[in-house]
Amino acid sequence: MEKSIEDIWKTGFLDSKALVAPRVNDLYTRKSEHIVEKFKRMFHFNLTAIAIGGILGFAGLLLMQLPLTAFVMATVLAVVYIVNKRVLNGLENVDKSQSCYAYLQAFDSWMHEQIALNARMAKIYYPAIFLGTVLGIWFSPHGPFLYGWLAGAPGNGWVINGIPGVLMIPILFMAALLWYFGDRLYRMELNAFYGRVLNKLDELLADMDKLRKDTMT
Amino acid sequence: MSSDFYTAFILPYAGIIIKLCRAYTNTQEDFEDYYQEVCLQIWKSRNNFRKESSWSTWVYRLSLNVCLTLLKKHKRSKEHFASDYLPEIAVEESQAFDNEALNQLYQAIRQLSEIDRGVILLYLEEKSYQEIADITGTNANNIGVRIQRIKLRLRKLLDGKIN
Repeated sequence: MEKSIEDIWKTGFLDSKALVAPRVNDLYTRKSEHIVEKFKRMFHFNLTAIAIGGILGFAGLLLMQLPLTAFVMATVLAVVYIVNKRVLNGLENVDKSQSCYAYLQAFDSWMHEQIALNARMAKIYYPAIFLGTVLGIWFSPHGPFLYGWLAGAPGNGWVINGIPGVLMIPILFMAALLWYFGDRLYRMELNAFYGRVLNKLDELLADMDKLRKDTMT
Repeated sequence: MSSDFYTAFILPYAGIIIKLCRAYTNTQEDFEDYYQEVCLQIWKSRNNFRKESSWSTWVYRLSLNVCLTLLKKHKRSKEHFASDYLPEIAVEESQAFDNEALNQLYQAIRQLSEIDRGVILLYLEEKSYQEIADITGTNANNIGVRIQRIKLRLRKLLDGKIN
């Protein structure tokens, strides 16, 4: 006679060994590894995108007859790439043999250091890219278009190193703004790209901290 | 999580969690991950328990939700590599319990839809239709019909395998 589903269920679980709970330990180890690996992959992808974008951008800007812009852009991206590549290599030195809490804390401090470094760099590269773009256009074959456009502007007779003062003031003002807000712009960019991972890291650390405190009490 | 909390509030209900986690996982590794995640979520959400239901019902609901969430996450990360995981499933899913008939039943349960798995487990645990509806978020009026349909499906899947 066929056993009913209910019978299979009941008799199957009569044996107490069927319901032995697995040991609850190292709750966060896999989560920690997963989040660090995910971040590394994203960081690596971002660096590759910078390298490819830099090369294509350089070629494209040269084709557009903007050599100064191409040079500034390529220099900025090369510096960003090299610095961040070194920073990423530094992540390999974080000791993986320690507890996952210590590992995540080490990762978190690495993360804060690299964010602070990139935020400082952003204060320089945002204005540099802006100045490179504007001055690159000014000193390129497209420059005469701007000369003509500025010809009617008041005070266009005031010239500094070949650039009209009427153009120089807003350019410098904008560059100053980019310098001032550079780190904030970088952090906005960072949040758009890595926001979820960073939030997850904070959440994980907060959980682990709570878990440790609860275990100690 | 203190060991006191685990011993007093989770361990007595470990059977419920194990039965549920087994229905949503195919490998021992995944099972242990799901079990640990459920325990962790119970501990993290313990202050949300409002005593509107029994602790066991609350544990059931939370375990089911955690399993469904993890399953979704798993599906997303594995869907492009499904073929890589097939041999692992075939080997491990028949080894979870010593009882062969129970293993076959679990194998059949795993072939049901995600919600149907939860519904049949709750039915087998002798929960009332109302409780099943509350926990799975389905309509209590249809639970009876649904259970009959699931049992029929399971019977077909088991047919010829268990006498």
